[in-house]
Amino acid sequence: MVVPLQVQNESLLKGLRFLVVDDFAAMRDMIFQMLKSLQVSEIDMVSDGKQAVSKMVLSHYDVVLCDYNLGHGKNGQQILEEARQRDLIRVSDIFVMITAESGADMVMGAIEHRPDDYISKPFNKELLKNRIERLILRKQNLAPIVREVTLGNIEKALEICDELIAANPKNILEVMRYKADMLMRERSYLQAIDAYEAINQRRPMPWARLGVAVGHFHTLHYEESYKILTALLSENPHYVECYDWLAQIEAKRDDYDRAIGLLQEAITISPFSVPRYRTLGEYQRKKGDLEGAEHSFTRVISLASESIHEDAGNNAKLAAVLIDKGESAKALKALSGLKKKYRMDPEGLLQISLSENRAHIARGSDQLAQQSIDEVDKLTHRITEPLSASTSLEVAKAYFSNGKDDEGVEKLKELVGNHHDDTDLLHNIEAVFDEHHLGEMGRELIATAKKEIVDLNNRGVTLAKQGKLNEAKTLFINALKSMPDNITINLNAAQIFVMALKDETNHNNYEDMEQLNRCINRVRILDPRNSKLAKLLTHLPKRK
Amino acid sequence: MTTDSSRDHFGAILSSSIHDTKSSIAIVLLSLERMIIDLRNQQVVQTPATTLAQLGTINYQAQRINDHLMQLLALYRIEKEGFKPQIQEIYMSEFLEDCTTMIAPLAEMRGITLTLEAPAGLYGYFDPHLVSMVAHSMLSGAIIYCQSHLRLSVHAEQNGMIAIRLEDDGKGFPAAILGKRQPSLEELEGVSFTGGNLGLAIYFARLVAELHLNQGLQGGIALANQSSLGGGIFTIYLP
Repeated sequence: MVVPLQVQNESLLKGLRFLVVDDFAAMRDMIFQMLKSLQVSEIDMVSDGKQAVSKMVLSHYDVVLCDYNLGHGKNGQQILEEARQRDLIRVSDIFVMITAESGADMVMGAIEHRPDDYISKPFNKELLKNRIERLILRKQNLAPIVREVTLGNIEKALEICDELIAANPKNILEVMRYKADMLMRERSYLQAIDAYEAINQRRPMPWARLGVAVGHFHTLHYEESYKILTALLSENPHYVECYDWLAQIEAKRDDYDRAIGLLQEAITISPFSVPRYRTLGEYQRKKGDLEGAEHSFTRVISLASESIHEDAGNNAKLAAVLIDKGESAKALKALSGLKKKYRMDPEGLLQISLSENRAHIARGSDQLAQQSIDEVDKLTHRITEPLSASTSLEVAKAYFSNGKDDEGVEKLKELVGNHHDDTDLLHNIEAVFDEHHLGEMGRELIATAKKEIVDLNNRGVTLAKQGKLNEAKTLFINALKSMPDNITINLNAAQIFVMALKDETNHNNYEDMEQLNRCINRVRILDPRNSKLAKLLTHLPKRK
Repeated sequence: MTTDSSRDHFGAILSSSIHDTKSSIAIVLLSLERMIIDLRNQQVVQTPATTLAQLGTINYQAQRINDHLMQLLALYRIEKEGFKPQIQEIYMSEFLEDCTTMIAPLAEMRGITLTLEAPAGLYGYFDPHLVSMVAHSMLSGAIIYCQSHLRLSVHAEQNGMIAIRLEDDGKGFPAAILGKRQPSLEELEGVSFTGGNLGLAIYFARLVAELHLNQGLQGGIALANQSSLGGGIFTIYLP
């Protein structure tokens, strides 16, 4: 029987739920005993990444203690990335990476996927307790900020940040960092740059300098960004994220050779990043290095297997490269069997059918091409969830290449309506129009659509101000018929329904409630972290 | 021929086997800790002092194996892979606490007083992983040759550097390595203290210190004797 170690004052760990991930049974047992002696009673233990993720899906843990090196399958870093991307851990939760060499392991992960702390083996109970208690205390003063962010009150959150920073707490750097990262997520790039510079004035930190560089990148100041990134790399050639951003700058300058070289360097340092290989493949394809692109996308597919990055889009990209190479038969072979794999994923199925269609056209198999475009058509009409813009664009292109120009134009129109403020996408849409000698029409269409949407929103707002809510409702309901995935319109419409439902005489109007729900759900799917949506949700009328 | 890939291969093998070894060491240490506590809590039979002392020795040696492995791996990363320190902001009083938690049970067992001194509100900027390895190996050396007292303290220097200092009440550093602020590995060779090779620890400390650069300042180490406790003083300066 294990005699409990002397129990001092109440442990802060008491009452928290722990998940321990370690492939070494004896190690799991040891950590279990330590936690028990620290008065922790709820402890789950698993031995690999797959189990860890499914545990986190099923229940919430306050603290995850995860070994970095888990033998086969995902490593600790990949588990953390997946958990963050799938919102399985909240900001207030604690994720601690247990490593053999924290220094080198840190280099491997992207900054936004750093764990809260690294603990190096061997450690004892005291060390574990101290570290976790400190993290708990640190997160406590961040909690009010996090709450405001979740509610969408960014202004309020910034206010609290500034108050806290002025009070100079022990974790002032973390607060400053939280503020800067938040501004970056909100795309307030100029303010974000200021916030990172404030950190650098205290003491230049590599990640804060990277923050400044990223801010400059987004505000199109490539020169400044470039300077900072190269300086960072000359100080620490292992800072992999710098290569990624430099590569993006080179790609913006159309220098794909250099962009590719930079990504390849990053890959020799950190060889398991799916997004990095994907970008590399895309650049190689653009440059016409089809061999290289084939290799990269093959790598993407194998690395992404059973991870958050697994996606039929990866297979579609590989197929596209093979078709470009004139190996359509090989492309078809690579696609076979995927429909079964992605049978629960309508967009995935659509991407596969689109690829097949292209391969059949390339091989001159008219009948099979016809069959597959029919499939594309059927899937497009059957899918009710919003499609990603890139897949929609592929559908439009497919209509054109199968001689269905009218459907193609229709699809492009729809895309413009749904994404009137996405400049990069509009640029690509224009290119498709141009390619089919419809450039004039395309430009006009985009210009009118943009203007119409601005007018529509203005009209809606004016009507609402005048108290003509019913007219405003009709206006937006009609607009959503042709632009169901336009985020701005959905948000404005939702706003109108909220106003309408606030009226005493109307607050049991089920039709309005249903419309409101529809708008909210749409935005939730299109942009889950939309801060305007979060704000709107806090103003929802209470059901009586 | 040494190609890039064979080098990477060796790095990977090294890191993966050290990882497993460290897990084993962790388990040995934790089992020992529990064993000692169990023995102490036994009501019926009094555990002989020699048994406890032997367990203490096992604990100490296991930690040294770990320290050496870590140093080797870090040296490999630094020299062969160009690894650079990962600078973080460190709250100094917490850092000192962390450096001593692993060694505290041993100090207690040997009746050694371990004093920590850090001004409140003092931050340092360095790679906590590398510097704690230095601190740990210096501590585990000092714990053997001190009489009864060790003091680990941190000071803000005038030039903006931070000094982490370890003082003991032992016999002090041998003349051979004193006076030279930065002894080279050759000079340190053969310098040995009871139970271990201090030379490698000092070499490693110097290397880690010098890797830390900030706005024209470079880290360093200093060795001296006649500390306020009467023995040696080891200081690592970090910019």
